[in-house]
Amino acid sequence: MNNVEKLFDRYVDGLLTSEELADLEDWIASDPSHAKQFLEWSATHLDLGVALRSDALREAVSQSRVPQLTQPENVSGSAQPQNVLGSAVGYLIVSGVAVILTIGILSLIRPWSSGGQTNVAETETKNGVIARVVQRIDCVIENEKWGASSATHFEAGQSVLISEGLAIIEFDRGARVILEGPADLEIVSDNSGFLRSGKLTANVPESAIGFEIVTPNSRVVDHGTEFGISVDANGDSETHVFDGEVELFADLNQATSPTEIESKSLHLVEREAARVTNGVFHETEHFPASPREFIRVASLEVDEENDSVTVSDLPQRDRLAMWFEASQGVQLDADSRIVSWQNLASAYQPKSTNQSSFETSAAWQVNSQRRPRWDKDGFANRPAIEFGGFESNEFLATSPIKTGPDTTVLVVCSFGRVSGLGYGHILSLGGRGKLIMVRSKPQLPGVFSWSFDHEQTPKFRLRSLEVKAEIAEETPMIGAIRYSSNSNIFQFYQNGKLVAEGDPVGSLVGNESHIIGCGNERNRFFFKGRVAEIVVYDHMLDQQSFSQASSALMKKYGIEFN
Amino acid sequence: MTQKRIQESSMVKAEGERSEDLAVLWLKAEPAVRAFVAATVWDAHHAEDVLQEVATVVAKNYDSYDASRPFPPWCLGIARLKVLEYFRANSRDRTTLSNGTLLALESAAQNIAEDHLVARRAALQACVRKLRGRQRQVIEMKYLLEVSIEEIAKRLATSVNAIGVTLHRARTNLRECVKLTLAETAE
Repeated sequence: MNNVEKLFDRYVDGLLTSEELADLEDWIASDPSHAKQFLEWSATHLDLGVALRSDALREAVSQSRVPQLTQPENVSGSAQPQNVLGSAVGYLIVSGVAVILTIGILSLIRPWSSGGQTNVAETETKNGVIARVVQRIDCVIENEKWGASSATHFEAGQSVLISEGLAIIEFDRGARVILEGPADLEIVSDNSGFLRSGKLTANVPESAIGFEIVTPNSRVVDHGTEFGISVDANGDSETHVFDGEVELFADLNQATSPTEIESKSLHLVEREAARVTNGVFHETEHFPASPREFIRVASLEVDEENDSVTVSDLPQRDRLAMWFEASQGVQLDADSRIVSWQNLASAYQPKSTNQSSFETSAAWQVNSQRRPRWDKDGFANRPAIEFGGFESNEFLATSPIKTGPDTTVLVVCSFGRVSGLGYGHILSLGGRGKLIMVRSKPQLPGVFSWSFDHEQTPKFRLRSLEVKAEIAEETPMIGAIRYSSNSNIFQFYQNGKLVAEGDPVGSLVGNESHIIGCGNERNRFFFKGRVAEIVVYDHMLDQQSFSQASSALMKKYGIEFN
Repeated sequence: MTQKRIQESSMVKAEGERSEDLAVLWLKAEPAVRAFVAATVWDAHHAEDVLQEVATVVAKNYDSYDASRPFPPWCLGIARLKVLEYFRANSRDRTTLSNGTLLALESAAQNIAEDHLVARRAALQACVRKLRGRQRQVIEMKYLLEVSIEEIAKRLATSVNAIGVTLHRARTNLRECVKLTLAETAE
């Protein structure tokens, strides 16, 4: 027997030789009781880790300390039978397997969703891929770091791990979630996921009603809505409903039957939220939803008829590449800082592009420490976005936006008060060739362009326009650029007046992320001041249209022609 | 409540009852399935993964389960297929059991009493608390901290063989303790 036990121990340590394995298998086959014995030892082996975790937890709770390795002493005799009940409870508390299996079973049969029964055959078609990343915002997908063959397409059971930034994930049934890093989301089916940690916002179209998100201690079943869920390090979760309604089922871990779970369900409607905590105490409580704690995609509907003051009277709107206006499409966090700023140009693109709101572009700041502040009365009684300069390192980065070889840029801004030079980049634009509007001195704007082209000599070319017209701090200004390599035009206008010009240095063609408020490297040249509106065309406007655009902005912001 | 809501509510109730059946059945079958998977997939981490996959397939295919037949053998059949799948994916692992052994273990698992395995778990929990000294230290490093045997030897400044012997003694003590505890409980 002792020899067999040795073989068994070597087996579970993965150390058996082929001969030893054959001996062990012979022993198992020689008597049905041996097979039973082998099963019992194996179960004990698998349960040992759970038992130790349970014991460490019990010890820590009873002594209010972190579990420690024990002091030397020898085991002797059998344990007392009265410990058995406590042991079973301990096992359940720490048995990840029990939890996972319960979640696994219940999540797959999804007993509470009327329209959400997963069709397994359907789910397993399309090469098994049932969810995909459709957009990334400054996002690091951890899966990519380890050479995953496809870190943006996911099958059932695979996890989306992001360490920072945002990833927008589309499930096959149509639900989309904005996953905010750091986060770990397992794709369970084409209409459900398991959020182990982190935060997400889910948008559920009619086709995906019944969409479910499971967390370590809760389950949210959607009834056609937009909602957010966060899971903290303890596995506790919060559910916030922004639109529509959801059913929240609490405390999956401790429930022993679906009936029990159902009895703990909570119906949440728009603007309601609930927290589920799971530990020594369990509570489920209602409180007002806090949309600002979650990243959402703002609506892009521009109501021109009812808001003619807000919407600038710009010409050739279908040729806009970027149009950011501080009173529209802004999503703020709880501190009134900018999470995202929608690119209104998307709303004026030809309908044939058939873009959904998720495919439209925006400027983002996913790092809460580096978000610029939204000021309701930034200047001229209109909203503006305030950037704090090098002291706070705030900026926004756009999702990739196509730029053409030529462009027209108009920026409505003001310079904040500085004690030093105040140098900072207001807008950094372009692909291989860059076009950058700067604050070159405390009261002086500037603009330069550079390009790097290995097919030309010299490869690196830089053109900086010398601007001499000063502008007082805290005074609204419109800085505008007309740029065309083909027409050999590079002009800078200040409040409608041409103040500097030179030769362009190359094409601005690209499909890059553009930066508002600092240098292209995102780590220096932080601008101190306010920005109310940014307009970028995909070509150079003719003089008449340019004048029309300038006049519209000057009128809107009460700026007089120089 | 609208007609649509009433219909939805009825469907929800029916599905809820089905899932309740499954949950109850699974609680009964799980100890034997767990023992079978633990016996055939020696690596504990991989065993947990396989077990999770078995649970997933059981849940997904519950509709096709014939309720007139016993549930545990149905689950064990799925478990055997999943273990074979695991063997194929890990064909370089020399410690894979033969088909014959798998069948023998599956057959034994079908006949093992669920409450016996649950009682073993509870007894193990109690026995773990009795483990002391070097054996407890090594067992904790191996199963709680999940440190390799080589690393344990390094940390405790001893040989791999010495750690192997300590581990074997600790496991033997635990097996013996579980056996005695169950015997005392039965009396």
